[in-house]
Amino acid sequence: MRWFSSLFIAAMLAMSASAQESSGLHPPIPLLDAAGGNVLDSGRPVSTMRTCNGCHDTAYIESHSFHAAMGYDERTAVGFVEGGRPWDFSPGLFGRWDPLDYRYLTPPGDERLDLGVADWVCLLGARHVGGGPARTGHAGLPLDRPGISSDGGEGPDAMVLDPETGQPRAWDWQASGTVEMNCFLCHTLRPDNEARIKELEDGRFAWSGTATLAGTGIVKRAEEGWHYDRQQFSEQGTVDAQRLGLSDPQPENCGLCHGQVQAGQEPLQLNLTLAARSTATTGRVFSGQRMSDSAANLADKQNLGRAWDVHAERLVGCTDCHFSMNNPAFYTSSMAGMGGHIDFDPRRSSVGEYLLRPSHQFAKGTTSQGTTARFLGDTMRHCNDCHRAEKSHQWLPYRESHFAALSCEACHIPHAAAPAVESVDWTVPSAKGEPTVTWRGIEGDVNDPGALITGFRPVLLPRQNADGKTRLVPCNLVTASYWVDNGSLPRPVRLPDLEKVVADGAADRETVRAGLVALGYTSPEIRVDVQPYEMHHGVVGGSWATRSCDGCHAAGSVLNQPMSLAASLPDGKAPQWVQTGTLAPAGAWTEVDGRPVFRPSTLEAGFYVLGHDGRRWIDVLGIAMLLGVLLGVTIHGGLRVRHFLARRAPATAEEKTTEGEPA
Amino acid sequence: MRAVVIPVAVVFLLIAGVVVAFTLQRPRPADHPWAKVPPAIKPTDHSSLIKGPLKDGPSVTRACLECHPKAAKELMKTSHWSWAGQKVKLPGREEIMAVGKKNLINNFCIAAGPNIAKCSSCHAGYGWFDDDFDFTKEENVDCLICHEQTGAYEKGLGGEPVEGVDLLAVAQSVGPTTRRNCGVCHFKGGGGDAVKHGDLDGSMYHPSQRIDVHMGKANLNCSDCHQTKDHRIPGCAMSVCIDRPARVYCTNCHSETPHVDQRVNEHTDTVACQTCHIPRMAINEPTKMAWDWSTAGQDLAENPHTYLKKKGSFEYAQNVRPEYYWYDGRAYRYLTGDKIKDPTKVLAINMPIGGPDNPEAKIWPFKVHRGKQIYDTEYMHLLTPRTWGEGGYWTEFDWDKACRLGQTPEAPYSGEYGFIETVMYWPLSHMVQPKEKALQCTECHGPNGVMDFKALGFDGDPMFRGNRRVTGVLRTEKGGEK
Repeated sequence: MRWFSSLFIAAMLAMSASAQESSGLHPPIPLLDAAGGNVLDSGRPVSTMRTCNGCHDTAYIESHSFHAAMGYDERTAVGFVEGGRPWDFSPGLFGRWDPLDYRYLTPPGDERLDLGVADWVCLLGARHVGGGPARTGHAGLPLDRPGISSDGGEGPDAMVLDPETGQPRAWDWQASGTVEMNCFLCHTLRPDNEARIKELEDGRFAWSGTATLAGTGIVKRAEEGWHYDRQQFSEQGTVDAQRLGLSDPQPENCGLCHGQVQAGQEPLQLNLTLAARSTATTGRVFSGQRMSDSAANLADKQNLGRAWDVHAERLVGCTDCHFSMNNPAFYTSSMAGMGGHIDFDPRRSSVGEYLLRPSHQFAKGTTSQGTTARFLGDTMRHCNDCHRAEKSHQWLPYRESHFAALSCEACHIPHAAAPAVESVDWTVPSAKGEPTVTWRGIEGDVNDPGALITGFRPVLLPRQNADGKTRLVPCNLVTASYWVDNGSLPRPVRLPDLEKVVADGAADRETVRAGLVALGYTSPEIRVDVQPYEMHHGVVGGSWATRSCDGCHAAGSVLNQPMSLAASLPDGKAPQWVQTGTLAPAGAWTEVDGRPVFRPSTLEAGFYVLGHDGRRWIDVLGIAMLLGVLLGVTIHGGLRVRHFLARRAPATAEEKTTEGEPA
Repeated sequence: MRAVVIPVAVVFLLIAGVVVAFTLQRPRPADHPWAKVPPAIKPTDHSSLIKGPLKDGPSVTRACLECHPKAAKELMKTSHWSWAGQKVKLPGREEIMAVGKKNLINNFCIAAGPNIAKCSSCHAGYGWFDDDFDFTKEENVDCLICHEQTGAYEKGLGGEPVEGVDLLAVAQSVGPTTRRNCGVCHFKGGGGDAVKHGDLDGSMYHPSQRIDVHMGKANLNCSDCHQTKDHRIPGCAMSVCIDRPARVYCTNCHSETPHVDQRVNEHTDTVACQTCHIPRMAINEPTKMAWDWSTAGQDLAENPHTYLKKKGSFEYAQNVRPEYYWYDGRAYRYLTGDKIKDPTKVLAINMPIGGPDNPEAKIWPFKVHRGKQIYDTEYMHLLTPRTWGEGGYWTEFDWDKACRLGQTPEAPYSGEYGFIETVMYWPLSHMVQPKEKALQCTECHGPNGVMDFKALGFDGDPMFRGNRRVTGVLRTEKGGEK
């Protein structure tokens, strides 16, 4: 039986090699509910953990997935996350506070509840594949266990903050169910993400996986729950894989959570919302479409004959670099680069074994913003794994020096094509509880499709790479201003409290502060921090990359171009860096035209840029050497001239003198 | 003083020499495309050379021949005169024959033969009203259609100048051919601007770079590529040139592998330049994509882009993605009188020859025009109805009469007719785009690519499955399918 299974799985893998269409070899499957019964009979939500477990070890997959864990398995004591804020307790979405989301997942033991786990799912589940803490909460126990209302106590696993009363109340996990790891989200060609998110936001967690199939026609929304269309099932109660659209993950699947991805021929329309998180924070758009063919109102559009991302244009997908760590086709040898005599280890797990237990720990890089799963840092395919830069940069003088000081992205992401968030200010939210958000790279409102999109030049910051060398990488800086209660347990002020203060009439920072004190906050203070977002996507080909010498080696070098932080900072507060990862931002907070900016310094970063940087002692030495040479030449020349003149003097006189006047 | 001035002057001259040497434009290398473009011909002012009065077209020609005595003889050897090509052995046929506009059927206006007095308004001659036209008479050659530069010259029935044309003024304006001379016929194929060709229309008279890089950016003329010798103009549409006559190739000027990226250069064995560099056709002017004659004759609401009583139903499209097929420069052709095997199936009036195993074939972009036209249900061949003129369909809306009047010895009419779906393929070579607008990888490869690689004979997308050689090797290994 096992050999048959392996054979079948191998055939599936072979088919999936084309990676372009739904696998024709995947067998029809019954959709099972959490009890293992066919959903056609029970009418209950599809359980992916049951359904897919027929061939794939779903428990293994969930336990080997940082997309499911979201930092749950990397939790620390509150405030002990490296580089994090004082209230972070994990490097992932489950425990790391993000000012773009604002709400704070309350850790167990906190007195003041902000986000319970159920609220976390409602609010942030849109960017979580499910499983992990969405099933087990902080305690690591099933959230829909019968006794949670008693053994979960008043903690965040059991409670949520009632938006009406502003008071904690128990969440009915039995009614909502939990969120299983949603295989359909990444493994079907046309997942209905909107339907999935709607179920999450409405608290119908168990149906979220089922709702993802809404686009297939297999299920339809009913008054209560979802209705299965028997016509789409076989007589045996199975569904054809083609109908499900089963596939290995395409870039569009990744884009559902990670930012804007477009593969089709339709003119691309920019999605400038915080939901498209990576686009909003870095201005990246993963699409092979020419920018000039898009529907975006881009400055100088007619001349933008390049794709939004050259890798997307060349059909390099996300999983080509961010592959499964035990995918035998992609896994790179651990021997490579170890300096031993073996450069490549050909041994691999079998295809069958891989498909039975495919690790969902995906190869990744190390970035300042991607703080979770550091143990997988720099496992992904890097530029040098595919490109031979020394061959394509023959034109570049001092290649080794450039390669040692600059990341590939420094030149190949010279400009972010799409706007990105510049600042988010929560100090005086709107009546709807929304922050003031400013974007860079756009002239006008981001909600106005007619606003002119200029994109922006990233700021270049030094970063220590896996090889130990420090190179400049392009970044966007996002400034966040918000209230923190600096009591015994520093925490961001809860949004419902801020909304209440604003609703009570507070219209500026002073009145907000007073209102917060009145609500019981002992010492509310404004904190301003800056999160650098490294940019590694939105790559351009050589002809669009930075190539001119004077772009860097001149007084106005791009290496030291300042980046605006916000229109202004609250109370003129100096910001502080947060989550810089291996970046070592060198430079100064300053002002340009009245706007607060960060101006990087290559000298402080340890780089000396010819034509741009100056060291006084080098200048003095150079002038001294020049003068010395001139002096030497003058003396030498003078002596030669004197000697020449002396030789040309009338011999007779000299001789007479010599001869007539004995020494 | 002199000891100082002389060295300074020498240094100055040396520096100036170096500067001048670097600023002087270096001659273009021999393999540069511009080196292949012929120098512009300086026009000769004919206003004092041609004297009137000139009463008709032949009298103009006689005046031309006084100084250009070989010109008419040269032109009379070409298909611009004979509307037929050289006698060749056609693909898939045993006999040797000459075919051309004169004796072929298409799925636009169907056939020139029965309507020649009307169609010959685009003939480079005077007086072709019927079969009695004298193809040997030099004075019947129309020099003006290709050489006049007033823009006021217009031909009518039989190719005669229309009334009111000042022939003397027109004749005195002659010069080297321009886009307008060619376009006045070739842009209006099928009976109107942009109708027949997806890549030739009125936007090419003065195109911007957006329309065509050769004409819009480099300001080339038709004759810069269609380099003419002795009035023989290379290049021919696949509709009438079935074999490989003298053609114009991109490689006449450009290298076989002109791309910086080696991966792109590796495409040139299998993919025609046009495929990537003509990503869309009919950029400005909509072209006719389908023509259904079977609906003609009804009193429906008329619209020149959807329905006309005289012509039936149409479909037009603008800025269209071409279809892609293998093409080795030859084509199968339905000839007048050929039997229709199955009238329920679409009849290909022409079809490019090629396939992945044909080393001379490349994937080309095509405009595909789909039609529905009249055929003889008893004799089982396409019919050649008279549409224009007395008794023609456009006058009397009587198919039976039109077919009786239009029948030819090769395609007689039995009295029974029906309508059959037909298709014609038109390879594209104009409206060329620069690299910034050429097809990108994703536009052919991947899930959203426009190429149907399996239909083209590949095992799958060659980016993932390998090119045609790999495919061929695999096929051979797998059981000798090749």
